[in-house]
Amino acid sequence: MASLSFVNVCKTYKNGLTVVKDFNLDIKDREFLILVGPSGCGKSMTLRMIAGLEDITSGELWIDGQLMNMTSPQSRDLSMVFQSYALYPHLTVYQNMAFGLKVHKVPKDEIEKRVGRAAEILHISHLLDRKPSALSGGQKQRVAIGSVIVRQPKAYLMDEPLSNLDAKLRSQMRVELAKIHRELGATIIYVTHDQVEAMTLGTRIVVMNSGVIQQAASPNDIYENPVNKFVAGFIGSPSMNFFPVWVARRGEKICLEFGKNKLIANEICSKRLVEDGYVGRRVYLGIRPEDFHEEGPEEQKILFDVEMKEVLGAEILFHGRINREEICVRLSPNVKAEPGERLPVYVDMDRIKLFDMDTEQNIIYV
Amino acid sequence: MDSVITTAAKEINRDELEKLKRSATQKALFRRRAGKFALVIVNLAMSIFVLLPLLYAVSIAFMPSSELFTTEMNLIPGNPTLENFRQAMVKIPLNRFIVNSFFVAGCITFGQILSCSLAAFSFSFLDFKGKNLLFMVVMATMMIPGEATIISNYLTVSGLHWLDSYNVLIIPYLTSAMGIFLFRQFYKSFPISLYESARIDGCSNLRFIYSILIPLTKSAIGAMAVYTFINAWNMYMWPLLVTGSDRMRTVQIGIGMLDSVDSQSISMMIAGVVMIIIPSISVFIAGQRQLIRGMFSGAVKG
Ligand SMILES: Nc1ncnc2c1ncn2[C@@H]1O[C@H](COP(=O)(O)OP(=O)(O)O)[C@@H](O)[C@H]1O
Ligand SMILES: [Mg+2]
Repeated sequence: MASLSFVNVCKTYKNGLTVVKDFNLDIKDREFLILVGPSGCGKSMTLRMIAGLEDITSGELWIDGQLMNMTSPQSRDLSMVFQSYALYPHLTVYQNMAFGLKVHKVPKDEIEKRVGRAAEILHISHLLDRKPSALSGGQKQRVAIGSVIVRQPKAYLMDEPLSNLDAKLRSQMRVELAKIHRELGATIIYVTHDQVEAMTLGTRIVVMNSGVIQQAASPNDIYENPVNKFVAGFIGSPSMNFFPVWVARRGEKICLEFGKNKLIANEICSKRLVEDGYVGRRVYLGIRPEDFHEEGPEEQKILFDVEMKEVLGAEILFHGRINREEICVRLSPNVKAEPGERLPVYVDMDRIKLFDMDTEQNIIYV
Repeated sequence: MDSVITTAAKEINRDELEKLKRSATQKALFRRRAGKFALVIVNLAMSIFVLLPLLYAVSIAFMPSSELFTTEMNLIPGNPTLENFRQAMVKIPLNRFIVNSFFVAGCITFGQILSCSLAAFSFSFLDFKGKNLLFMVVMATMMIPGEATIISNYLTVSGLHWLDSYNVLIIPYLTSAMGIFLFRQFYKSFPISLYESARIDGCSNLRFIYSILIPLTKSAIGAMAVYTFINAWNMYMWPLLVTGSDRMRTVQIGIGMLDSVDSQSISMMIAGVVMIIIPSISVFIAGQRQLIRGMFSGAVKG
């Protein structure tokens, strides 16, 4: 097991395109680190640089105190699950899983033991004699994970390993992966664009956008205290609602006004807004769908036009508009409202977020 | 009452329906069979048409010369004889030629498979400076016709004192741009993530080649082997130029020797030709399946 650090790592293509920019990060031993971000933001590229499949244009990559920039992938002692499975089609499942061990000259009985155990964990013991062509997508993916966990490398790299599974299998595999992480005590670097995976699996999440780290923090921190509008909007499902609002002083209070709606900011927000000189300017107000309630004090009420409702059983999602801004609200199933109606909801003012209009930084970031 | 009648009517209807269905399926079946039969006939006719010269040659090889030179149309030998074969063997040391050809073609095939697959491997999997330039240089050699370089090649090998030896027949042909190109095309359809995965698993390049790349490109290798072997077997110009003694001649030259001015026997020459096409045809038949699979293995991802 190992720790990794990136120092100012950049990746630039020959055509001048910079895919990863100034990447600085320390990954501790036994950490389950999640790289998350929209498609094309450079997550796979970062992982491939760790594995040695891509050259690092500038900067340093350290693994366990050793500079790795020039080390070949073969001698980095890592193992990786590819998005496209990468199973050897001419080998059986057993041989696929044993391949890496054989290359590392692990004794035969030890190989048998480890493959057997991994197959058990992943529920593929009955498939060991099959060729990959006789497996379903989910089974292939599990074999791919299996051939990685049989090894005991310095770190495990996984590139969207659950992306090809159906919803049920995916949630099962999430649980298994969390268990594997606990049992192996391994350093895992895990790429995904699925924020549910990110939130449930990671001990730490790194949110990336266009090759730049936006924030690296624990799942809870990322959710409660996003550093900017991008992170706030990316993490959470359905995502946070954003409205441009005017910050105005009304007597003693600081108000957030948009259309006919007026919300009174709480003490902390007011203090920040006044101190940083936002009074009289516009900011983005961010409210998560679950921070609306059916009832509450009058000064936290806003009205919106329901356009669609999604009944999910334990909750209802209302989609609609305030002025021209789209809004999504999550309420309990006993709220009766139909599309076309105007619904009053109450905002939990202690949980709102405020973002600068230009820099999109979180104004109340702590 | 009513209901009884309607059920009876239904009964009849069902029987008739059954009959109609059966006759319809029979008709369809007949039509399909007739179509297949017609196809077989057409194919047979075509293959006879295409194979006729070859079959006629085989038949001539068994004819006494007297039968060949008549005004009648003799397609089948009246008194089949092995005399032509015996004469051909006596006139030239055909055994020695066949052994030479086998040895030379075998070495060339082995050498080309080895060198071309390794070169193509580095062109498609490795990353090094000047890779594309080097590949273009290799490809450019294909554009120079062999005839243009044959004199200078001759001077080179004679300077090395290689004339009239196996060296001169084999060594210049140990690699080919065409082979490198074909192998590279095969490798292009090979998923690069398998290579990357093997590398991360701690595999060296050589280990990747023998435990993953070769098993997965067997059909391409087979196809290349058949193609190279037949090409080498059929070489004419170069062996004619650089070999002088019976010891080193290959079969294609040997056959040319049957055609001498003083004793022209067409049936004997053809007997010799029939003897030397047997090896190349058998190589083709043995490798046929590989060849066809190899040709398509790049097209359909398998
Ligand atoms: N060979 C290449 N040349 C130029 N740009 C590339 C190349 N390969 C990938 N990219 C770009 O790098 C970016 C990051 O890709 P990737 O890391 O695969 O994204 P993701 O976060 O979805 O895994 C993408 O925008 C992609 O277009
Ligand atoms: Mg990716």
